[in-house]
Amino acid sequence: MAILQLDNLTKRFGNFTAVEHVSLTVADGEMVALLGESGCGKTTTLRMIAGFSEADEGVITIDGKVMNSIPAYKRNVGIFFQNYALFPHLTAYDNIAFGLKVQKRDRHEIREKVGKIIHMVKLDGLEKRYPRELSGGQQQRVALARALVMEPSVMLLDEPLSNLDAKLRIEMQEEIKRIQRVLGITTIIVTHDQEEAISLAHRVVVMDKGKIVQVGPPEEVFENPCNAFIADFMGFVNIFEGTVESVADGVMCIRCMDKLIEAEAASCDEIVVGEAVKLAIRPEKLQLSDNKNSHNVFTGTIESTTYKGNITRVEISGIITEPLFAHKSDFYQKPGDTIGVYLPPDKIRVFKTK
Amino acid sequence: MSKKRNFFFLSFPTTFALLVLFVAPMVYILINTLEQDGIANFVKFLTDSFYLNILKTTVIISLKTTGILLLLGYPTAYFLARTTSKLKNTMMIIILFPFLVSAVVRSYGWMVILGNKGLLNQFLLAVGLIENPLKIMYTSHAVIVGLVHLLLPYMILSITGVIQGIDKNLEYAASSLGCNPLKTFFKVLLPLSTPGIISGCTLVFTLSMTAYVTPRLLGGANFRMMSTMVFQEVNVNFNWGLASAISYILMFVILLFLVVFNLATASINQRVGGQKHA
Ligand SMILES: Nc1ncnc2c1ncn2[C@@H]1O[C@H](COP(=O)(O)OP(=O)(O)OP(=O)(O)O)[C@@H](O)[C@H]1O
Ligand SMILES: [Mg+2]
Repeated sequence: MAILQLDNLTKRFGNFTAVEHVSLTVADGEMVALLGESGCGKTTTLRMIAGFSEADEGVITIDGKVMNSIPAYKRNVGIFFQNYALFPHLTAYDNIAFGLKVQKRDRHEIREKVGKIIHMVKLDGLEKRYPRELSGGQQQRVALARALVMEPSVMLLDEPLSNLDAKLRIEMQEEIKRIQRVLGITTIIVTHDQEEAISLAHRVVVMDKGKIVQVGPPEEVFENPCNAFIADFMGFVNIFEGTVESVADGVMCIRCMDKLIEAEAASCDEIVVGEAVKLAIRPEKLQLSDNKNSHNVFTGTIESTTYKGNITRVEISGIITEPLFAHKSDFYQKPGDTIGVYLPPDKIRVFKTK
Repeated sequence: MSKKRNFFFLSFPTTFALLVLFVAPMVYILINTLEQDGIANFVKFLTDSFYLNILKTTVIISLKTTGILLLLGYPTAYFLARTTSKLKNTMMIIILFPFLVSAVVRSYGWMVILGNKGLLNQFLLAVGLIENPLKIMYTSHAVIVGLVHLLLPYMILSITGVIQGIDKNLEYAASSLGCNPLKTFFKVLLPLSTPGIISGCTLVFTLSMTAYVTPRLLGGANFRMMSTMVFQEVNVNFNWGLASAISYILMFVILLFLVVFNLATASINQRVGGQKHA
């Protein structure tokens, strides 16, 4: 239905560059998740695509047609606003039917489509309420329905599920996914939730300070972030520094204080001996049980344990300068106990220190 | 319950001042005129077409002034509310600037411009658009021009305030749902800015209904509106009874229009609500 292409998109506010040379192609029917720290330019990028603000540089095309000078109301780009932007003078029903009415669709068609989508986002019975009479999560679903019901050729969703409880969130994810896949709507979704990105998106785009820093399938971005910043953002809680001692057969030996840590180098960076690097490993990848491995096993002391519901967060000191964090289920050891920690070499990521 | 009392307490100084300085004298005036002449003055006004025509002129001029102000004020207010220019505050001050000059001075200013040998006529004659000077001074046109100039800041400020409270994203949302700028205006902006329109109209309508200096100076001695009539009855004819009757009728007519405006607001407010959402 539509191929969305961003070419060298740049947006400045005064002398602050909010979006810098962003180039991205979203394939027909593809769903791309846009991730990045608060203030990195996600909303600004979406606003340019929707046509609310003009790009200072660069070209936006949909199906090869240059969109830059085409007004928003002619672009057929649907958008879910981060702050919902529901019309306060209209009921939930009229908010959702707004676009169809503007298009002067047939009355029966409008009633049928709106009714269907209301049922889908589980707002039955709330049609006559005004936005101020709805809870945050209900408002969010009205805004979502308002965007979805238009079946636009390109859809932009700015954190559409941030305000929902876990159960509803998963249900809505499924609905968004279903509609997006069935109608083949080219979609960009902004989300902070890794699971959401993994379950919804074909590709993940990571932004930092207005620039795209990594693009790839969700598993790849989450498993193999390109730098320490992305790793940190992707939940690699343990990040620490070291120096490369040797590189051989894809295995690096890295010195961290008095410890020698082995890592299997599946890294984006070209790393040479003697270089200062950062190592990163997810807390759930640390193995705490007594281990028969000969390498990468260290002994530390449990500093504290925090019960987090499905897992326990264990803080371990005495291995490197910083404490290491491990996530374990069914963990019963006490603070003060000594514990063996195994860092699986294939789960360690190594980045250049810049 | 205690909450209610607290709120009243906050408004007590104003309430007190209003009661003592406004309601009491008004009641006193009414009692006085009723004691002297009964309802004779009211009957005189309401049965004499001379007086009724003055009332009609006053209402028509005020409605025209209000309409013109709305058409002039809304776009300006929208611009002011939405501009991101650093000069925004300066522009606000410029809009308020006329408040620093008295209505008398401003009326004399308009006399210089609108008179038979005034700047406007001289210009039009020089360009050749007209052959004889237009008679603008001492007509209702001059009065309307003067009132519009006098009251424009009220209209602009009332509407600017309300538009500033409307999330710009609502306009973007409308356009992403297929509304061109005109449709966005009628479907989103207008319904949401109605409270500001109503309050602006209420203000300028009331102020033009009761204006004295502008009609007196720009309309001339023979141009009569309600407030110039009151002045004339008090200071020239010494007919205090008729003067109070006129001021009461003026007040009643204004209230009548305000009730209409407010009914409109009520029905719209009910739909728009406090227009606050998460
Ligand atoms: N109108 C504006 N004027 C000046 N600076 C702006 C404007 N809009 C956004 N910015 C700045 O541009 C940067 C990017 O903003 P943007 O809204 O795109 O962030 P975001 O990635 O959507 O963040 P979040 O996840 O918090 O929503 C921010 O630093 C913000 O302060
Ligand atoms: Mg944002």
